[in-house]
Amino acid sequence: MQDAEAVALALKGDPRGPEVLLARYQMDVYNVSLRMLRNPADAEDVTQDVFLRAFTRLSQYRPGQPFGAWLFGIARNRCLDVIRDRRPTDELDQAAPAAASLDVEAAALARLGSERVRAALERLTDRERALLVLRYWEDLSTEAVARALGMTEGAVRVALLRARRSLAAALPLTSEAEAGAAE
Amino acid sequence: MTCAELRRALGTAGPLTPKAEDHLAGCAACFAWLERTDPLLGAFREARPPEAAPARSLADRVLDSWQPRTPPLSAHPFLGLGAAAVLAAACACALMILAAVAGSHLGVVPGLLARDLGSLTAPVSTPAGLLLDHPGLMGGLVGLAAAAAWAWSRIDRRLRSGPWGTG
Repeated sequence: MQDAEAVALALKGDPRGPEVLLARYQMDVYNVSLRMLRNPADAEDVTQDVFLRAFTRLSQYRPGQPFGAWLFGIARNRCLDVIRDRRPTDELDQAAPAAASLDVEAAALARLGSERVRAALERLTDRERALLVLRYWEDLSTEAVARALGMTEGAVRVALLRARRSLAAALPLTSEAEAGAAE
Repeated sequence: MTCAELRRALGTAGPLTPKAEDHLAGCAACFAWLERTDPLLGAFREARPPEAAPARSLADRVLDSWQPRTPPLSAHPFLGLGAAAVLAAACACALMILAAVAGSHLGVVPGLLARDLGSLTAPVSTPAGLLLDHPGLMGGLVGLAAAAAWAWSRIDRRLRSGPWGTG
């Protein structure tokens, strides 16, 4: 069944429509949410909310537009709402100040595991994390990232550079923290 | 600042100057160069978490919360035509009553108007004759019926696409 057929069924109140759409997109929406929120429980709540919002607003869906893209847009906006609503203690500002003075050589990067990179990501501010995740994990264009975050495209380019430098600065901090924990 | 100057600045430690940031903000080519040459971004892309599955109960929770509501009015098409016919008939009766009342209250009126109002009040009991003698009136009633049918179709479409959703 095509997405348009499933949407039409859902608009008529036929539960087969939502069942098909859920089966098709549930995994992707959940993983988009998980990458942005880093918490499985939050990601599940957002996923549920995203589908309910989508089913309530199906009249706004334009049939020529890919349904998945429309759904992922709702998911990203919902995740950004959750991030904004989080308490300020979730912001880790200590990674920001020294960012620009450090850089990571390509050879050193080769020794980094993905776990260390993800751990360093945790040390960034929510906005920096959102920028990096949307651009490099969700593969959005800078224009789409700008729309999602309410910024100009030029501001996104500069903010991405700063986020990248914050990530680079957080990597040695992460390694030091691991070494300290091991001792 | 030129692209070459910015690219040299990007290779050094230390924050970018406002001029450098302005150039980066406005230069898609320099930004694309930065992304191509930055080894950290490659490592970051590779650190993308593997796909994870949500809880099996998630789909059930969504479907349980989604309950389609039936539209408040039945959207049967004949109801729309019926409503249009009733509205047209009601307008015709109202027009005839108004004409009768106006005719009985008017004293001396100019000739043509007196004749038309007289002819309007007389055939209250012969509506067919009224319509045949006054094609403009018949056209008006047809127009009213068409307008009522159009309005009903818009209402029906709105109700069909309405937000049936969460219970």
